[in-house]
Amino acid sequence: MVVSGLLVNTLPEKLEQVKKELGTIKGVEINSVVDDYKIIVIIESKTVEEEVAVSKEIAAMDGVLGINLAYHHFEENEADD
Amino acid sequence: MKLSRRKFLKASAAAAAMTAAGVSVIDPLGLSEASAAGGIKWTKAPCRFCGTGCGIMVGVKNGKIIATKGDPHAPVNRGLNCIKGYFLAKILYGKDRLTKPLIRNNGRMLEASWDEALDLIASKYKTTLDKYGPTSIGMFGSGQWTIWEGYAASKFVKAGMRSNNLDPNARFCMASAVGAFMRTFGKDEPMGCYDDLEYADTFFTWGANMAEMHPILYSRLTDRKLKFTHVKHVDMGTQITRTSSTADIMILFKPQTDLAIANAMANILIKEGYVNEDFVSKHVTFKRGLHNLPYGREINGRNDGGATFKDKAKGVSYEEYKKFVSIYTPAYASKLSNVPADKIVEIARLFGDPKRKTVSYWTMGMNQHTRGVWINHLVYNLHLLTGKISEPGNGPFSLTGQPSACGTAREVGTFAHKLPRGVVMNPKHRAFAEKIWKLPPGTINPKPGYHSVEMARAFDRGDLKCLWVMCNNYFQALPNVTRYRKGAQKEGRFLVVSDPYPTRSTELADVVLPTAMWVEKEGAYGNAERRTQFWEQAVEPPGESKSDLWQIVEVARRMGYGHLFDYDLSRYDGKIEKALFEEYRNFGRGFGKDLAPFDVYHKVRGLRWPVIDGKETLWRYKEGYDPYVKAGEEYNFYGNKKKTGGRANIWLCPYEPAPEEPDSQYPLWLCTGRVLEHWHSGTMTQRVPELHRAVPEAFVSIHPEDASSLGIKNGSRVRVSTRRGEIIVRAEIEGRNKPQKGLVFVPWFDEDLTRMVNNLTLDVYDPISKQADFKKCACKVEKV
Ligand code: SF4
Repeated sequence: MVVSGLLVNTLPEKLEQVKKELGTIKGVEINSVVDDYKIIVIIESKTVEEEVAVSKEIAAMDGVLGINLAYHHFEENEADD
Repeated sequence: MKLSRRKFLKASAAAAAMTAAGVSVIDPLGLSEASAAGGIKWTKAPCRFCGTGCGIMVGVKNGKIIATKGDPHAPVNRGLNCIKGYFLAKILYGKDRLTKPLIRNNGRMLEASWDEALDLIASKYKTTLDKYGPTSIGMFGSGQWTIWEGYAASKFVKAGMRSNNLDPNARFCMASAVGAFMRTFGKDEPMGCYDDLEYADTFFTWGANMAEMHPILYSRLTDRKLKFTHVKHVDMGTQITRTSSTADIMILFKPQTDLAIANAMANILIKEGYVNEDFVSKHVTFKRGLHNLPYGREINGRNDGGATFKDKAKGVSYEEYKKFVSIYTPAYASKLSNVPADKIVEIARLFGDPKRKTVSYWTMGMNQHTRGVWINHLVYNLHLLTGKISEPGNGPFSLTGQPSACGTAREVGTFAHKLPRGVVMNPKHRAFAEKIWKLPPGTINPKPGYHSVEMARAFDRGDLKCLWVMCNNYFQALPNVTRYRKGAQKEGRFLVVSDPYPTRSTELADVVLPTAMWVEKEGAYGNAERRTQFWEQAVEPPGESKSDLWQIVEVARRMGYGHLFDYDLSRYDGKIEKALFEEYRNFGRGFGKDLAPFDVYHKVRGLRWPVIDGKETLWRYKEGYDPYVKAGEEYNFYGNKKKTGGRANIWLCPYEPAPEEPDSQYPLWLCTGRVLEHWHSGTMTQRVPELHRAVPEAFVSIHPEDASSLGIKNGSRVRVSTRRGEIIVRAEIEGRNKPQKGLVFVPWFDEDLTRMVNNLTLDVYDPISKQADFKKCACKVEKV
């Protein structure tokens, strides 16, 4: 299982829009919002590859200034079922 | 069990992110204990990638890295990593890691023992040295070497082989910054530190896509800007990048005309009364060097003077300087640069505003420039005219691309003219090194060796016969690389390459050595803000891989230079790393580069030198911040103590054109660089399948109007060619990079021979810094 904790920096005026978009991505959980423009996001996926794809999708969103990774656990071969 | 583990991991992830966001979290799960119970052992290390130098916590279980997190105690990144953090551990576990030495035999690479490989290298070097002398052998090193690896290499080449043919890939990266720091302040490296990010009111980014190349610093910049609405950001460059998204003012200039814009800004500062006259009269002098410089071209196998160029500086008056910049009116700079004149006036006023603190950040756009030293000077000039320097939020700051470009390449001095303190040309500096290295007087060679481009030319010509490339990918990184790749394969050349992975360089080698990387060994890096950071070995290297340090020392021993590395290790906890570092410290002590003892660095999250009485220095040259500046002096640029009594130099540098500009045959500018997902030549990041798939191949970003006039659509396959070669890539229109009309951008990570952009680049350089320009040459784009 691959789990990451990210900080997504947004343009404050686009915060709501970004939150909405995040809600549509599978495996993405919004934990909280800090300082009115930083969204704490947890991503869960099966492989690092999926995880990176999701991060990149977030990074490319309109209104996102950048994404930062705070925690990354990637025992991919760990039994998942 | 599974559920709780999943919950636990998510809680850990959330807690880490919240801590990094500055929210204090009460640890509901007792995470630290839980992770210990989960069998994860955490150790600290600086990031393996860029010069930002983020602190990482590396989680190891059963001898393998299984987790990483931003180190919440690291002042640089406070618990955060950029997206490259995903790949930090993965880079160790690429499927094609080299694990055994290889020796070429009738064109095939065969596995060999370390003894065979090392003996072969030592004997080749020795016989060549005996027959052709110290200019016939060389080593090309790295800003990714650990501090002691660079130091050992310097000792091996300079004290052992008595050659100065040692240069690092950092020559491609920040030699221009070094040149200008030395000529302006008499000492290298920024006076300020990253804390400036939290104090500045105005940010200037010059030729730097911080958002993708130094993402953590950029997020500190955006934090400052979003929290304080008065903060302004001016982005200056030849294309619109992610960094431009926070810019209040975007200055899109024609390549090379940054020289004119910076002079025009100085002119406006003077004309409109923004000069801090008190600061200038007490702390500044004015200098003029030679103008109409050569470009380091090779003409009929001879250098046009670039390699041997020596500037002749003379002092001039403030009035002469004013007169010199007065020709750079906003109108003239506008005509050259295509930037509206009123914009140039606006940014000059913003820069000069005495109520605002201003910091300038730059990277390769300024350094990879055939007038790179000059444009660095011109930015220092602005900071010196306004006295905005050496205090919180005020200063010029060159960022670095490699994790130890500063700590190893610059501070240890693994350049062809350098010693750990001073330069080989200076008899006093040689004597000093000879004393510390316990060498007979006169051992060190006084003649500088080949710098990077010249080294490749010499290898091609055959003047250089043995070359050892370590910790970098020379035969992908060189400009006009096709020529030098052919040169390396000529008869009579002996090439050794040390690397963890097969690369475009290892494939040309006669001997390949498998190398331990990052936390597979104990190490130390120095980041861009003078912060020296150590790490312990966390995992075992795969197969028979060995550190660069071990490799250097073993070859040195076999060549009869064992005495250079014979330390009584019982005094150094059995560690040669410690012995080398403690010896190295002697070079800086008392000369403005005081380092703390070895053991201290293993405990702290890095310290910014000079470290005096256990305390680091955040801002150099200013009273109250820098212990080297005495009470009452206000400022003391003590690197210039002897020459100017501690004043900094403002240099008169004109606009001069680029060596190759677009014409009817090659009508577009070609600019190269990096992308967020890949690091440098992609040796490490292309080994990570996820990252490789993220940006699988190089592309060419092109302006929509240029594309449409060439009949090119987004995704079209196109040929990009220059006078030196061609590549076939896909076009990207309105992608992340948005070049100005008339300019195209191609990233350089791609190692596919048909897409390697250095097939196209121009192998000339700044005659002062000898740094090549990877940002400007003339090209043509056609649909295929
Ligand atoms: S910003 Fe640089 S040092 Fe920090 S995590 Fe990213 S690559 Fe590593």
